[in-house]
Amino acid sequence: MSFLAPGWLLVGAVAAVIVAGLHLVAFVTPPEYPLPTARFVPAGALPARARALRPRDLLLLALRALAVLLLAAALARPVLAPARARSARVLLVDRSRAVGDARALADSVRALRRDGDVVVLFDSVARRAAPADGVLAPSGATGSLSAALAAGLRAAASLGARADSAELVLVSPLAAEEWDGATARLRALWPGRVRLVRLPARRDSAASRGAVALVGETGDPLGAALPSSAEGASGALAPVARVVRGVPTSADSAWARAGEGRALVVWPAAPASLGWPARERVDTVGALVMGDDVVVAPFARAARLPSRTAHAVARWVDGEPAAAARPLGAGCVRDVAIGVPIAGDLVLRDDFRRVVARLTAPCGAPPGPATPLADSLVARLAGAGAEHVRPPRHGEEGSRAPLVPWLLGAALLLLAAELPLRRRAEGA
Amino acid sequence: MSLPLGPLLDALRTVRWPARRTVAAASAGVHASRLRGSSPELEEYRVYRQGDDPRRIDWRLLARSDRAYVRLTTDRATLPTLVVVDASASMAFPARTLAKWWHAAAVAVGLAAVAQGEGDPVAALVVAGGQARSLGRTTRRSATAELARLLEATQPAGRGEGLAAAVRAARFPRVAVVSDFLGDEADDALLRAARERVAAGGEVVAVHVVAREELAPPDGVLATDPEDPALRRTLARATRAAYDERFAAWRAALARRWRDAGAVYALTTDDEPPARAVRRIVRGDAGGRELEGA
Repeated sequence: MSFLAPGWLLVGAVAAVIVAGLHLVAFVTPPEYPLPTARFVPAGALPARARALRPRDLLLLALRALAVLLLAAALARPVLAPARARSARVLLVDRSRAVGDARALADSVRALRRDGDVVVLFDSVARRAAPADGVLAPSGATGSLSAALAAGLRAAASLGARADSAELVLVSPLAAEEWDGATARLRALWPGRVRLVRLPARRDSAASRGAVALVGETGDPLGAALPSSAEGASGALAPVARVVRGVPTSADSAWARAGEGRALVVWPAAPASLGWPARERVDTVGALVMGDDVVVAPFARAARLPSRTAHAVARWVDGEPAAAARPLGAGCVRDVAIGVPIAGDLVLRDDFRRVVARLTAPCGAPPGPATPLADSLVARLAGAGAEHVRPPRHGEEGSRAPLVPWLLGAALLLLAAELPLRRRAEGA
Repeated sequence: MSLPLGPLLDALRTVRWPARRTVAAASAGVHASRLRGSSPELEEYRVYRQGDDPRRIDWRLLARSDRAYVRLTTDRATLPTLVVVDASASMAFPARTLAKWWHAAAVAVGLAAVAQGEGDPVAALVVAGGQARSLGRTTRRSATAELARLLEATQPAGRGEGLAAAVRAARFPRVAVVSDFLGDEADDALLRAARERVAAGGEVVAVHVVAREELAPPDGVLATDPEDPALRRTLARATRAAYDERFAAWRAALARRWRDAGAVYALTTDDEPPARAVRRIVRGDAGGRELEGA
């Protein structure tokens, strides 16, 4: 048996000692004694109550002390729980698209996992892994540290019945895309330190991506921004993306339709040539946003994207779509209404080159390397304090203390019996 | 409970209760009378005067002296005695045995028996709460038994009122008051009545009954006066000395005041054999010397 609030036992012991002490020093009214010569007793010399120097009514004393001890035991909430482990562990395992090496992930989990540990797998949602779950393969969804922490807190609370303390271990590449507005507040609910096991993050490999063919005029400035650009269709790698700077032909469409993941990027140098709706007047916009990538530059907008059934993959800072994609057979088509200036160094900037890489990535491919989480946020995630802490409880203990009602009932019964016993003692 | 009449009367069979002064009663008795009577007990001779009874002339002395003298002898008379018994609530002590009351009753019966044994008429008054139950003046041999039955049927209760009135109104040359004198009127009215009676030529005997438990009450109790419920005082070890001192001083003062009033004062405790107490009382022994250290 153990107690959920053992401090009450000490309080009960002290209270029982006090009850016994009061019994010894209790002032009792001396018995009346008819005495005809009472007038000769000095008046007002002593109070009408005399101190009982010897313990009387031992049964009453025992009853009162026992009632106090039972009440204290009830408040201490004893539980008939099986033996508890000293510490248990909750593993939060990241299997989102930010994970760069699945083998490193599996090795880390295998090294950390112990019998009795709780494993929570998360990407955009978190679920508790069954003991039979084997090899962990990364999913293509974006990871959410908030979902992981919420599930981890619930799992840690459930460990309170069989362990005195719990440890939270986060196995993740800690990508910036996994942190949202709720992450900090959820992290604050864990009272101790979170052990971080950092995995290799996703990298963007041009070799696995394939080549990008540029169909346009020689000296097109966009060519300088393409990843491992190869003007024309020659090269050791088969092109996985074709950027058309003019009017796409049926051959271009057929090429995209025939290949798995092939992306036909329609990026006209002159959108008017494709019949895209022109703006009444050319305006400038200060930034382009594509996922986590932001390019700040004075972009000139001459035309809008054609209204087709497509989803925006990039937007101007005012929210207007700057690029949209739609499936085309086995591949996809991306319409891009981002003007590429002839002058300037925009095409040489890393942020613009990342956007171009994402726009020319194969259809369904990860959108580039995972941006690491800022060091300040990593420190905030790790936190400070002990790694093994008492997990926060969620009010489940009432049902695990079945003796409490019995102890309370017994104490009340003794207190009820104390009343007639005390009256009998006073009348004696 | 009944009084042990048999042993008590047997123990007092030969006890005499002489009058402390000559009596004025006309009935023939055993006590010296103020009157000159025809008793054979010669007291003195006087010269015959005209008018004297010639039968009282001592002829032998006339023959020897040739002068006529008459014989004067002391007469004997009875001494009617009234026994007044205090039956107030303070006499019912201790509550479980009423030893004080039964001792007072036995002493009263004993005094009545001694008086009756000398041929003196006896009467009794049992006073409780201002009311009195009486045994009328009688010389019957059954008077003692009647008094015993009267006392056995009495339950002490009420305040100690009526004793002074009983003493004042009594038409008896000898009055014996058996009481603990703890009533309110003991200090003044009763003593005044006794003083008046003594001044009128009567005899007053004050029998002070004290319970042994009043001399040594238990400690750690809340003492209450049976005749005054408002009086409640804690008797503890710290106040015991003061209680003993005050009680002893009161007893001494009471004895002194009764004697100053001309009465015979006698103290008896409820653990003293009644017969011995009666013998002391009729002998005029105040007793109480064994209490001086109490």
